[in-house]
Amino acid sequence: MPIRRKHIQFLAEQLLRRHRIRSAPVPIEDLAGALGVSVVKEPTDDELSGFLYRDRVQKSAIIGVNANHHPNRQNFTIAHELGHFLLHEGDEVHVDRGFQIKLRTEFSSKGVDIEERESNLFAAEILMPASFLKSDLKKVHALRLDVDDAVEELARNYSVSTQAMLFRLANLGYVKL
Amino acid sequence: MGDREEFYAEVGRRVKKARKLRMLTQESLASLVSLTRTSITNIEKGRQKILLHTLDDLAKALRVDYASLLPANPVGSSDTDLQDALKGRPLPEQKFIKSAVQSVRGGG
Repeated sequence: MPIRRKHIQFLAEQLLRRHRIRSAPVPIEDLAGALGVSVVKEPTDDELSGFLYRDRVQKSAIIGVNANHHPNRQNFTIAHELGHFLLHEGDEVHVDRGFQIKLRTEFSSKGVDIEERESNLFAAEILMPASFLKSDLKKVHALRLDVDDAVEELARNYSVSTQAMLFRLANLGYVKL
Repeated sequence: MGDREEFYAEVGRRVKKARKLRMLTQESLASLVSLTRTSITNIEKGRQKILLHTLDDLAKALRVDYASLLPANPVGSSDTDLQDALKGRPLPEQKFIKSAVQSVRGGG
């Protein structure tokens, strides 16, 4: 089953527009808060990235993030869990362990759980919107993207890991991996 | 009443979860309890308010205790719900989730 690519892109764009977020870095924690989802950071085992808890009695949701992880990774985790919250009905508690951002080709061959792929796409779309990258990349000479420094700097500006940025740029066709 | 809708929605979710654990299709569950597939769909979506004997039939077909298909007692039950959801998970996960949830609720 294919993932709902268009739907997810549209959803992310709409959220950014509605909350008047026009440039990187996207304040993902505030965005979660604006959607009624509390974000909590707690240190835990390294293999745990985060969780989404839906309290059906109090009709609220909580995203937990591993406070021991790098802030960039925490951002991705928050965005990923927010993706589950918006896209999937799911169980009361959903825990994510060390998910990785992978290339589309790897996804399709490995048959990774569809909901995880959708949440990863949502995270990429909300943290690294194509339109933001397009305008930021105008300032960067295309050739320079092959230089790690340029990707690193871009990643820093978006508060994501270099790896996440590299995959995003590859998926958008800016670089080849 | 809104809460009732949520009650039946929760029963539906529990039925669906139990059915998936048993790896039954809606079709096959339907035939086990002599209902139509549409009824099972409606029950799982919380649109059909099921009869007590249907609950019993479903529990038997799914080989679960019928109480497990009912939501935890909704009176101040957030905690019981969370306990339920955490059951059987590895300890570090339980600790992580509990302390995060408690810090949001402002409880100790």
